Amino acid sequence: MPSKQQKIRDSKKILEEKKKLQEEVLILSQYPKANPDLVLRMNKKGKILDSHNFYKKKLLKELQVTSKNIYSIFPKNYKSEINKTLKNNKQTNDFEYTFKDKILEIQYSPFNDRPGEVFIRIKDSTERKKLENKLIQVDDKKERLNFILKNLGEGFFILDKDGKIIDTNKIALQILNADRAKIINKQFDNIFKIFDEKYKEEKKNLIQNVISNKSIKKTKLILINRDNNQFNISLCGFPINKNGINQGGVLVFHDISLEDEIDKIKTEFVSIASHQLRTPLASIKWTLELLLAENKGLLNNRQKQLISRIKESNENMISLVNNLLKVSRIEYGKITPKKLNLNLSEIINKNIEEIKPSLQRKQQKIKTQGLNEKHEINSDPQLVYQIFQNLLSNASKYSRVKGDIKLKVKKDKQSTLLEITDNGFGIPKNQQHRLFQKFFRADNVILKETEGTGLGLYLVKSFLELLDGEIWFDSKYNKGTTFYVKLPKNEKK
Amino acid sequence: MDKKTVLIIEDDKFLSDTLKEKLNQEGYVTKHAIDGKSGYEIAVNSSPDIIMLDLFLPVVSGVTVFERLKKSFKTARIPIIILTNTTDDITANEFKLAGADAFLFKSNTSLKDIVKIIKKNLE
Repeated sequence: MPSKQQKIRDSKKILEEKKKLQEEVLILSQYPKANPDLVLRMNKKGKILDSHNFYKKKLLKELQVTSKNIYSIFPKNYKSEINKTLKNNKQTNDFEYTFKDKILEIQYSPFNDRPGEVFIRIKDSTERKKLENKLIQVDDKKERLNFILKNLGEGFFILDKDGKIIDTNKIALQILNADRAKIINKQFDNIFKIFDEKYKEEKKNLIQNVISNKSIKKTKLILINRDNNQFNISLCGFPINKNGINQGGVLVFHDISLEDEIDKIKTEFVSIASHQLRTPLASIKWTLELLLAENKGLLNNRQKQLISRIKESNENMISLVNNLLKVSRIEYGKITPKKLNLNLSEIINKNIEEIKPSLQRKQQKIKTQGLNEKHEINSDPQLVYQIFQNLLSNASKYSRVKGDIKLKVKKDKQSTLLEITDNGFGIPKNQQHRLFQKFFRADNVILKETEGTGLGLYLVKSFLELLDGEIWFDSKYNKGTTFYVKLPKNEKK
Repeated sequence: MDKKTVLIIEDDKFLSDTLKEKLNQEGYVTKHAIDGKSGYEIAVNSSPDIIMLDLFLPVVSGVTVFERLKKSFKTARIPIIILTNTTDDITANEFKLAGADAFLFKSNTSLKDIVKIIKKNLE
């Protein structure tokens, strides 16, 4: 049987245990319940007395707390914060602390029941901060996008899947002289009629095409509003398609009335300038011809030589003006190719006939293959003529005296392929990529052959693009060049 | 055989003089008008054998002169050669379809070729 003293000792012990337990319950009850933060209880020396958190172990491990002193985790200057907390008996504001790759928010609060002790709440805000930064970025992006759309030089309409206008911008309203309130949520087709550039055909399906998943390439159009006002615009359209489901479309456009006006002025200028330039050139041409005919008296050899030189320069100038005119007409889209049934062999034979004097002068020979057959194509006779006129005269011009030119025509089901090979100067490899550029002339031929405007091959390529044809070449410096031309047999449908 | 008459309707004096000189050398009689209106009148009054017509003309344009000459009973059968520096190949074709006998660009055609074409059209 335990003695009375023993019993008293035991009951004291139980009471002490109970008190300790109550104390612990009290301490723990002051920790916010289910708080995901790490809470440390410490004395003013920084000794960690207690910690609480269901994932405290993880964070403590991550913080690499090896010592039981808070200053092993955080620098000593936290001591002053702790002292301040104890002195003022007040909770501090959260302050941020970056520890290794973690962003921590720390708050000190006094432990009212135990003077000289503080709670430290450590909140791991790394993920939240990352998220916040992302949100800021998203907001930034959204804001930027809104800013761009609002201030875009182009007008736009966003259409829903039924063709209703659901959004637009200031520029669009300015270009079309429209009131936002009167067009939003209205069917586009009810507000504007769309016509082609020449005002000939109404483009009734255009909106339907965009909202049913078809893109529209940049096209010049005329929009007519309900008051019959006309707006000249250049427009392109893109469908909005999310996970394979059509959600509507976007129309982007700009005003081209000024561009059209400038185009017209430019074309007029080119036409007048060409006339003005060609007239004196024709005068020089004819006068020199009269002089060389020697009806006004005989010329000595030196005089003849000099006049011939002027004549040659004048011819170069004429060809430059002619080519510039062609370039300007191509660039203003003034050339609409015809589609006629032609015999390509006939055209090329004419070309060959034309360059014969030049071939004879340089004692060059031309060998042809396949020209006795009829090669039918559906194309523009004048453009085709000019393409081969350029290529054949180049072959002669950029080949040596006594050089050989070969011309081969082959055909397959869809197209006719021509090869024009010379054994001339060739094109230096480092300059080959520039061959079809406007005004380009390779270094090696500038030294040998002063004639040439650098426009011929640019025109050839432009003409072939108009005719749905292709051109490419192989060239070896000082050995020669082969040009390949592919022309479609029939009109593209 | 009578000498054939060529009417040159051309506002550039230097060009018309050069052309006249060549045609005279070749044995043609030449008449000259410096604008569309007088050109049309000379054509109606003197019935030349062939007309060289510029398009860019003062007073009345070459296009109008061409249309009037083709409509007029007196001049409809006179061959007309358009000799110009304006316009392009497309216009050239339109004129040929409208009844022009030739369409030449001055700067691209030699005097020798002009004579050849005149001869051909007078055959």
